[in-house]
Amino acid sequence: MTTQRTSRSRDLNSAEVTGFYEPNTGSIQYVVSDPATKKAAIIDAVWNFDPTNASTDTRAADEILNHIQARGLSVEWILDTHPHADHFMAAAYLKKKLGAPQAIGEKVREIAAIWSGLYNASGAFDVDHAFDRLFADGDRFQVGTLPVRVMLSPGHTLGSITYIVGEDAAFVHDTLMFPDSGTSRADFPGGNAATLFLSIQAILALPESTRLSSAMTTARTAGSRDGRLRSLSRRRRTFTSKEGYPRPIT
Amino acid sequence: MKVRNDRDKSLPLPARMLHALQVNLRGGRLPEPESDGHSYFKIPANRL
Repeated sequence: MTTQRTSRSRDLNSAEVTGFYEPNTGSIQYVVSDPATKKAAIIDAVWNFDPTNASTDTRAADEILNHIQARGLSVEWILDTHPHADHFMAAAYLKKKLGAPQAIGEKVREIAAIWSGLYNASGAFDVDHAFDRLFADGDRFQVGTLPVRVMLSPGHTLGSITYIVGEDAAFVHDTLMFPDSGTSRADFPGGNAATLFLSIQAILALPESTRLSSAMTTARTAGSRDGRLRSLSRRRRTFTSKEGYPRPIT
Repeated sequence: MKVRNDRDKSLPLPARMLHALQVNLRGGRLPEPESDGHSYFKIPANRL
């Protein structure tokens, strides 16, 4: 079972964000929706995989589908921030169920080139066909009436992207974890700690009211940069003590 | 950055990584089924 938590919309240009913590992989999946139109996007959904017997199941994604149905949402986009190393993405499964397009960042082409070398599998990863849309830095689209902006934020992978939905919700994936657990790692093929540092600076430069939804939890931010970090830290303790999220290990 | 790099050197790779990338770079799909109708993963030895 996933643990769910919702951050409500604050006004007309503000999304409702629900995070679903998936305990086997320690990742958080998100549903972000426009309250005015009930249009939604799913971000970084998990397809459960048990490595001991190489078997898959759709428990986590089905919980998201149940949430979508219960809230009467209509999914416009199935999004990933990067090709994850710790879990399978559920995007193709969700696309089959919902009919919405699946998308990721365009630099997944370069990541595919690295990994097709490591797997000695030339041509195996045809990302232009596997995904319906590959977003470039600065691309814009809509979820209902909410504008979404794509910000390239590499470091953990060379092609990770942040989705900024409405005026105050940013999905920052595996960049900024909470201050007392640090950042994501940057040592996978294509990762780079210096690049990650710059991506985190760009995220911290977003407006101070921005809610940052990371791979581990979601938090409201406030105050100066230092104040923001303290706020995140406080928030995280609230999550671990009251919401049942385990301590992230990074 | 030094802290990050030093820490990374001490971390094991994620248990699902070598399975996950070959699925995720197909958009969340298993490798094409082989002649018996089943999909098989390909795991490189001593590459990482």
